Amino acid sequence: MTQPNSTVSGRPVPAAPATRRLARELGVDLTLVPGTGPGGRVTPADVQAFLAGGALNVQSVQSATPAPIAAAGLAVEGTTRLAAAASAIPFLDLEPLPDFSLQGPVEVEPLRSIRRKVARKMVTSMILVPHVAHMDDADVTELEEFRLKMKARRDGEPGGKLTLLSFVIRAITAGLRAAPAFNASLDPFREEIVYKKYYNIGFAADTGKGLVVPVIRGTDVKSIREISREIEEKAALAREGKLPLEDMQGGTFTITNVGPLGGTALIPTINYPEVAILGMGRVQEKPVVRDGQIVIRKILPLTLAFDHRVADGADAARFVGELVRNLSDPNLLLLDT
Amino acid sequence: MVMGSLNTEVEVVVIGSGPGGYVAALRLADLGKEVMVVEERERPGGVCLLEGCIPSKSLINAIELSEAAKGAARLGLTFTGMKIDHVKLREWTDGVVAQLSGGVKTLLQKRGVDIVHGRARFQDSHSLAIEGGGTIAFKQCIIATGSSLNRLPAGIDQSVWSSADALKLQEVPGSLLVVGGGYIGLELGLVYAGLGSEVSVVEFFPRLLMGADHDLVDVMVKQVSKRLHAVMTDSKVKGIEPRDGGFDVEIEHEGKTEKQHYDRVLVAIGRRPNTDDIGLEHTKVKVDDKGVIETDGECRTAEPHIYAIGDVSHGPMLAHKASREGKVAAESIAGHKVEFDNRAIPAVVFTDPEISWCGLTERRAEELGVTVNVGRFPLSALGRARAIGHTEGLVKVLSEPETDLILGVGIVGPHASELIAEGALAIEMGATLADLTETIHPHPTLSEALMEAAEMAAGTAVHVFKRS
Ligand SMILES: Cc1cc2nc3c(=O)[nH]c(=O)nc-3n(C[C@H](O)[C@H](O)[C@H](O)COP(=O)(O)OP(=O)(O)OC[C@H]3O[C@@H](n4cnc5c(N)ncnc54)[C@H](O)[C@@H]3O)c2cc1C
Repeated sequence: MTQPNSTVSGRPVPAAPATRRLARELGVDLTLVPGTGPGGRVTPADVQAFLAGGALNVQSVQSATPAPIAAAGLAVEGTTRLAAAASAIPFLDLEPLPDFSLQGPVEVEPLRSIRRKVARKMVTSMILVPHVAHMDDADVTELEEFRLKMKARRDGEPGGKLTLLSFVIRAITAGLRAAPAFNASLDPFREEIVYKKYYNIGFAADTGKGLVVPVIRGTDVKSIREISREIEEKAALAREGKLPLEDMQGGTFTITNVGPLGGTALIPTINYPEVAILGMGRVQEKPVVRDGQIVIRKILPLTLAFDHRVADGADAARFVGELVRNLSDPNLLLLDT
Repeated sequence: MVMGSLNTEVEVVVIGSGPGGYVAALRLADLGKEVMVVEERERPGGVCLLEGCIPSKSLINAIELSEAAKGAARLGLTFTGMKIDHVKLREWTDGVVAQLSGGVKTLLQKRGVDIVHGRARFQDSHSLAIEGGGTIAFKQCIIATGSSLNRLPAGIDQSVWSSADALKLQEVPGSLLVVGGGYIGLELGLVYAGLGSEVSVVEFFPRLLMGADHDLVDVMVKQVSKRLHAVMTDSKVKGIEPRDGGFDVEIEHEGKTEKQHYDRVLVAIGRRPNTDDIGLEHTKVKVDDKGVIETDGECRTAEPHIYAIGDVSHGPMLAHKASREGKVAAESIAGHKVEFDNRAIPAVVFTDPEISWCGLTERRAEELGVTVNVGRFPLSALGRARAIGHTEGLVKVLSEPETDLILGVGIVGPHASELIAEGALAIEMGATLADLTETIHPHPTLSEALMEAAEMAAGTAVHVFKRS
């Protein structure tokens, strides 16, 4: 009989049958997985961590385990090889980080909760999705004029803040209806594109504890004022850490508005598995040329990052162009969307 | 049951309905496959159920009861007038077999698995010819034809008993010679000794139960020798001649040949896979010179759509190994990622006392040149063993010195067959000594011995005398 999963020494890698089954199903070679259990036993978590290219992760757990670990030698010398084997991405060179404390004082904080979730999402998105960024400027002079007038009138009422974001959400929803590719998801396993016929727009909110993306549902049937009110409510809940889970799920498109904090331009990372994300820079008064004249206008820099598997540059140019047109003329925005 | 003469096409055909074949067929059916089983015997269940594990254990149980009754006098229990009615015992055993075989048949039928009655041979790598007419074309096939008794060397009379004959319990001979000191010979020899025959065992090798560790075998041999007329090791049977309704047997020992007369001779000298006459030459399936079919970790033969499991493939000829392989093959056919990657196939000898072991043995460790830590615990130090009056026996645990990983377990003593399952679980789980010592074992039971043996290996035992 063959003696599967045996190490160099001939003895099989200690791992429970269920763990071995998991490794087999995930295509992980158990002899390469450093075990963190007693006696070097490989746990299901070790297999998962290994698969996630988490040789680093495992490494740190190991150094914290005092017991002599049979596989430790293998792990230390072969981390690079392990990681490469795990990801099978040529030239991807995952090495344990150097001990920074040798260079100067450091403080170590474990990756927890929101930070860790953000890390997972971003790595998945960046590794999986071929990102392309398309940029344009929207002249929002008239829109701002209209918005500030309305805001002054509605001040103090719920939804009365009438932020620029709520207008952008409105305009984006109109754009998505015309260009369904940007309101879709690509399923790489089934090799299908799923076009969603509902419009749930998420907006990135800074909570102090990390990034949260509250979702506003059904933006195609809500008024700008309703949208504005929901933004206020959900952003407040998110800051208090009280936003219910379902209000962070089901998004079809995300907008990140770092403008109020500053920045002339940004390239956002797609909120996977969505297809696109819109980044809003800071609205600034800028000298622009109109009909051969230099005039001062309020300019909103926009970047659409999109999944090039689903849409092409020309699609993005049309999508953003339409958005810029709608935002530059409040009449158009109110009339057509 | 579908009878002979048919030409049909099926997704998967399983040849043989033993513990390998029927388990594979049931699993396949559950996985949504269209399955057919071909079985040449009238009843399903294979050697294990019809003329192996089950009837032998049924008989052994009866003998153990009678031996226990005989030994109970020291506890103040006397049974008078006890006698064994071997005809009644045979009927009981037949009943057990019939029930279980019927159960297998119902299980197969309830899942819609057709049983084709007849002998199957490959015509080519995608079809079988069924003796008596008919062919079955298949997409995938599992060979689970099991094994039969090694053919006797020339010059030996063919009317001697096989294990199947012995299990029929037709008569209780005055004297019986068992040729072969493996587990089958010993188990059946003890049955007949218990029934009243004068039983001798002859073994070619210097020891009985060649595969097992000496310390375990020695304990058992010491006990069973009391019930046997003679145990001849290092001895060779040169000839068996029928005479006076019995047999004259020539046995060579240390260069000298002696002739002895026995009423009956039981030959249990190993088994050979049933692969010689099933048409494998019409396929690319590879078979070695012992008749064993070469397979990979998924039980696939050299023809990837033909699988081989149980006694026809590598490894110990044991029913539970056959069944596990049956599941692996079935799941592989259904596209699951599976492998027969078991580290512990328990071996059990149902002598009195029983012997069992799994994983690494001390013998094997020596052969491999691997250093192991051995913790032994004698049953004489165990409360329950004392209470039931069976202190002959021991449990040992082999562990890896650097890691304390449990590599092997060996047991001799009452219920060794039941106790070994915990050892198998420990090895499969990659358990360490601490996992065993820190698991509470119920008191007073024999299962404590395994925990204690682990304590011995770990150096934390309290129930043994220590030199201070
Ligand atoms: C006396 C005795 C005691 C035993 N005790 C134990 C025990 O206690 N524990 C244990 O684990 N094992 C025991 N064994 C071993 C056990 O019986 C075998 O390991 C087990 O039966 C193997 O299962 P299998 O499915 O591979 O084959 P089998 O059980 O041999 O089944 C094979 C089946 O295939 C059928 N067949 C063969 N060729 C063809 C063909 N060409 N066409 C159609 N059908 C065919 C046969 O009729 C048979 O029914 C014992 C064996 C013997 C002889």
